[in-house]
Amino acid sequence: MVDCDVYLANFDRVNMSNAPYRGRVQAQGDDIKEKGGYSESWAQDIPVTDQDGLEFLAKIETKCNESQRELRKSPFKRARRFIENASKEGGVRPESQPRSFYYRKDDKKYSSVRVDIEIASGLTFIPVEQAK
Amino acid sequence: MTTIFSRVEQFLDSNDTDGAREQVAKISLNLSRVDTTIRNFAALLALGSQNALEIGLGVLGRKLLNHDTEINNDVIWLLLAAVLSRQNITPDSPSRISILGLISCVKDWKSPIFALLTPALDSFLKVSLSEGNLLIAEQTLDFIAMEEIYAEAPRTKAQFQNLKFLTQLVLDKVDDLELKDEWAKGLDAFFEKANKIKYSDENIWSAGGNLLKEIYKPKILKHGIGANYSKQVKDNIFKLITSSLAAIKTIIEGNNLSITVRIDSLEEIDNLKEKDSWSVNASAIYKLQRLFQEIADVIFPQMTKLPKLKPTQAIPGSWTIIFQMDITPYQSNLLAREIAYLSLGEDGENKSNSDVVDSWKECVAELKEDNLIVDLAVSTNISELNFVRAISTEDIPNLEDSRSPNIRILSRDVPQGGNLEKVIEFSSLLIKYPSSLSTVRQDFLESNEVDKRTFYYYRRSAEILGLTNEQNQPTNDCHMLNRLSTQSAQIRFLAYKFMSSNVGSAWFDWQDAKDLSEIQTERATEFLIAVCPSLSEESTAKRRAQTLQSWLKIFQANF
Repeated sequence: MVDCDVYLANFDRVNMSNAPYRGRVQAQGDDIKEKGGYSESWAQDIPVTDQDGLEFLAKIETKCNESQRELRKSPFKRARRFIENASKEGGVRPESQPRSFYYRKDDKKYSSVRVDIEIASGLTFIPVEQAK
Repeated sequence: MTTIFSRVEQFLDSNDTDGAREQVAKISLNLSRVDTTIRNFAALLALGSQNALEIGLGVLGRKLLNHDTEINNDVIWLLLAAVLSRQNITPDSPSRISILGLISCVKDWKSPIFALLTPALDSFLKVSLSEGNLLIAEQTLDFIAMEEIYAEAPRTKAQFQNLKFLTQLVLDKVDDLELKDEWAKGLDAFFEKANKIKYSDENIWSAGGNLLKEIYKPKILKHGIGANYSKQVKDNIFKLITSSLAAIKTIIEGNNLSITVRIDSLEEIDNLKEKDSWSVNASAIYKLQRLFQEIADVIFPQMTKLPKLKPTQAIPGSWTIIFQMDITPYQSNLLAREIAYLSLGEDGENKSNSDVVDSWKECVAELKEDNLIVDLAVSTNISELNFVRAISTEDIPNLEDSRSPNIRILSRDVPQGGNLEKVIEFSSLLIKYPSSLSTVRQDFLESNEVDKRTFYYYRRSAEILGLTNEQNQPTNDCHMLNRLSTQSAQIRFLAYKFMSSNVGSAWFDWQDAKDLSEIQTERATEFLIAVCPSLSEESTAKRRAQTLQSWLKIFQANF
């Protein structure tokens, strides 16, 4: 699939699916040419665990090249921390939507560089032990 | 046509959270300008249940992830003000996470409209940092550490220190050393910048109110979709602004006690407003001054005559006035804390002094008689009392009409000092020490071995009988009472004073009595329930009737 198709496929999964557990993680910014950045989405019938969430993040991190990864070192770290803490609370719902994890929002050159976690539906990032 | 607010609440009423979320997600929110949809969304955030607020902010948070969304400052301000205008958001509410997305959209915290909201926002964030939910606390810490521009907001030194202390507590618990180091650096930069801020933009006093009036123009409030909700949102945000102005005054000028009063009149009497506003509004200020004195009488350890409210600033185009009161920091905090308890409404009832609650209700009743809507806010230098939610005449429901609508008294007209000999003793002490109420109190407390509250009741009884004026000075009647040589003559004199008092004359009217002997003391409770709406509960009326009964028995025996 071309990049645009990947983006639309992800969009559809999150927004159009009736699955009870939906969401996505994205690495975005002007330095990433793919529309919608690098993205991993889910639309499923069982809750996403903390382990799943961390794996989704790892996948998009792998998609980044070295400089993209370097710029997003802090955003990825903070996004992972969000998932770990969410898991300690037993998971979070869409009402706990975190803001974008930016690299340097106040620096125009880098102000778009970020990692996003979008929780569209369902209890998300539950502890993996709980899912078992 | 139903509004977003009512549709979402319908779903929530039937425990369908997913349905409610879908309703909100379906809304086409255009964040580039304030329109009907944005106003209705603001109503959801300001007036909806906490669940509705959480859903609204969650959906908004997802929308804000899209970098291409054009966002207008007025929209951000309205939505943020709508959330902050809520009376309470629980410490564990997930909205404390999703609101950070909205706050992050603010590009300039020095801008007057946003700077005005920062005392309320700081207060909100402090709860997020300190109430034990790890996820909420760390997300809040992340916002402060990574968004240095929020440091440009105006703060008192105490607020600054408190915020620093709370962020450090959260940081100390972070077990990821790399992340801890990054947040620590961010916090250092934030507090270094915050420490240098000296806010001075004069537009801060009027910008918020002006914008709110622009967003909710009269025609929108009369004919717009969800007009009724819009009016409530506007009123709530005006209350928030009133509180914020008091806080900002303290921040900028360092007053011990800043007081903001906002006076508006009911729409129906707009014509009257033009004619009488100066005198009516001036009398409202006088009533509030008296309220402060009554609160001080109850809660200050020493008898203190409060200085007059000193107006320091008026907001052009409105009846919003900022006052200061030159009292000690300790006294300022005592007064402000009582107002803070009152602002909690029913939640604060167990903290509030019942006499203070009564005084406030009486004050509201009088202000409402003049068809006024009054918001009152206070602020002091200590962190927890810098931003205190305003109290408002609109918080107190209208008292039901009494059964004798033409005869009406306030509970402050009903005496609570049952022993007339003590009233006479108080009066003689007042003549002995006319310029020192604290000496009067000390003597009275020592000779009668009673508590402060009892002294307050006798002081009020003397006022009800016209023996003192509102400045606690003895009147001519007080001098005359003191001149009479026998106790029996004094009691007769007091009986006449009682007959011409508000409560006495109301009782004569209610019974259509022609002589004191016709007054039926056993009907005191019934009388109070009929003519004093704020004493309409039987148990309260019964208690308050006891003093009337004991006075009447003595009057009738000596008359």
